[in-house]
Amino acid sequence: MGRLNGQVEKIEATQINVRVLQDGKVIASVAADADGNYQIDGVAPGTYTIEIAAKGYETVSLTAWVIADQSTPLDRVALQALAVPVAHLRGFLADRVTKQPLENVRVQLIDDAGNVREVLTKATGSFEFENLQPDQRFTLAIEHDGYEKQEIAIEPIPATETAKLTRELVPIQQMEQLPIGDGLPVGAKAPDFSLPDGDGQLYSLADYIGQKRVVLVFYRGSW
Amino acid sequence: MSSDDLADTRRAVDRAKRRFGADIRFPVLSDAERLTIAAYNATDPFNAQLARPITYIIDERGVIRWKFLDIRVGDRIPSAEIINELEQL
Repeated sequence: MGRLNGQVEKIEATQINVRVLQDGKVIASVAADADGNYQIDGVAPGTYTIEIAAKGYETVSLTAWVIADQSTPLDRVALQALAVPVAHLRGFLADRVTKQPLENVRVQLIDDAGNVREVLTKATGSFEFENLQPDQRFTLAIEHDGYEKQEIAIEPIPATETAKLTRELVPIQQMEQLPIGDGLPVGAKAPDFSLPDGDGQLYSLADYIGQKRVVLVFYRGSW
Repeated sequence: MSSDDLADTRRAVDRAKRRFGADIRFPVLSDAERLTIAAYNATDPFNAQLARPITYIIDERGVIRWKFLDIRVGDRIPSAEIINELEQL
């Protein structure tokens, strides 16, 4: 494994985010420290794009070649203020059950044209999308192993403002596999079905979901 | 629900109506293909043609909240017990 490190000229009261991408996918995300230094350990050898972003500043992209067991220093960067007004989105993700922040969750922001930007949550569970086009609708898509998918509609954010969002991800219950014929465990999702009664009229479980509880009885039949 | 076809399901309902002298106020379904029986892991391990007598309570969110598996073929959970469970959930 290799290491990446570099320095960004610090900006008063502005967090600088450093993201490491490979083939368009974010693989690591850190914030530069108070002096503008950053370091990312445990990076597999290969070619990466480093994105350095801060609210209201032009994002800078660097290319880095990481070599095993070596440190790859990156050019010092000074971010330039953006000329156009932009909006920002900041969020926080936690586990619904444990309430603990969730790190390294891939979060995608999709605009109406289908353009996708993605970030990872930091150790604090937070993520940021800087420098968005103001007054535009987005969809936020969150997918993480072991959790239910979420898609959230983001209302247009006015220029210079930062929209804030807190979400809890719902763990997918790991169900025990019961022996054949012993049924599904309590807590499992009931599989949908659509079956006829003796007169051929169809009944679906889905017709009852959200309305009523259902008692479902399996019996052996008239064999 | 059972693996009976439509005709056998209708006969079973008619038989029950005669026996109890009243209408049956819940649908009795036919799963002749046994796909739903398999999906609920209710296939009898000793006779794949048949469902094992399992009773589930499914909540409004579609989650199984209670289950009862009758071990002996003739056994059935009394309706009063199911109603009791429904009230407790």
